Amino acid sequence: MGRTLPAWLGIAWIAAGTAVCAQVKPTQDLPPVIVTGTAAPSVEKSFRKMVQGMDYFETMRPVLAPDATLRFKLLPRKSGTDMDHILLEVIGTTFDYEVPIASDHTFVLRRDAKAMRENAIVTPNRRRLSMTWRTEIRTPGWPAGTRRLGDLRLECLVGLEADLVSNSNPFGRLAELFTDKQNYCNRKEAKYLFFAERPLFSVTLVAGTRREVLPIDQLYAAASDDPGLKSDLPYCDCEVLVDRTYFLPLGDRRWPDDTRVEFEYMDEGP
Amino acid sequence: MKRKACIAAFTASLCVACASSPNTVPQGHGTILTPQSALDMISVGKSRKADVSSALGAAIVIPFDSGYEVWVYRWAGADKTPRSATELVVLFGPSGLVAKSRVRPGYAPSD
Repeated sequence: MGRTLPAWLGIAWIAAGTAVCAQVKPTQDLPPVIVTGTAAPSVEKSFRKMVQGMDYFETMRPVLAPDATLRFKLLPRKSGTDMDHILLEVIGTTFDYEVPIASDHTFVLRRDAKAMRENAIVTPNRRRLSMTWRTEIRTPGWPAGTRRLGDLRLECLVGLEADLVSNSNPFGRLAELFTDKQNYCNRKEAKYLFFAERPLFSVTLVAGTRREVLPIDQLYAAASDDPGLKSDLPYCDCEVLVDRTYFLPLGDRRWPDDTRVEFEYMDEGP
Repeated sequence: MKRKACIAAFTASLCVACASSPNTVPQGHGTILTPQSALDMISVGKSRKADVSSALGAAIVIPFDSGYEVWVYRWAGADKTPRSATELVVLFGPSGLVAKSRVRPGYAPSD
């Protein structure tokens, strides 16, 4: 009893503290977990994995985004990263070649049996941790400042399948918990980080007459509910893009794939 | 010993979590303001951080490297979730003046 009483007091204290906190801050406190299948800090990606993502895109496209096209996108992860003049190469054991990059930093990957056989890498000439990658899946005809939810659902699925998210520990370690990528993207509260074109002020979902503005904890990598975010940022591939990040209720099927995601940017007029 | 250290660390982390959850419901002269009345106290292009802080009290502050800063005031909703909360969001430009402001309505769980 002499040993167990202090322990029970400790537990009671913790429980009391938890209850108090629950009253003060009842919202979910999840950190902005960014999912990935690897914690590898390198800037390069596996050609095979990226093709795997392309295959998955073709499989899921009829379901989520029948008219969409897939491109890959390079994004800065560190301030000062020169995003122009990037040399992107596919490098195998017996060959290498350059992949053209568009002015918006997107590119397509050509299927290549030799690169698959040689387990080639896709690598930009930038130092490790200086950049990150995403998919860019767009249905043509949608106005500027909007995205189609089905396209973004598919971006999550293909992005995870292709292992594009570049996080390091501790984000990477946490991410390894999420081995079922498809189910992760179907979660109502999926924390897959999307990046808008410019710094965001507001994100709104619109489907028919239904309209809903996302709460602030779905913007800025949940910075509103995470006072420690600043210290975690070096581990997140959102490090210099925090003001452009947003989460979406990907698994909430009350929002159809044709839902319009509208962006209001910081630099637009009031 | 390890157990004591563990409990102490856990307790400390709980306290940090509590301390980091400010009451962000705007209060003017001791009374709780409605979202619209709080919004009305802000002038885009005119109000400074000190003006907003003085009128509405402490906010959740999200600073960005660009110099922009977002302030958030919250009114808890029925089920205490972020989705049900009403929010007043104020954007300060690098100049320190309010660049934009908006009220986000809370949504009922059944919406």
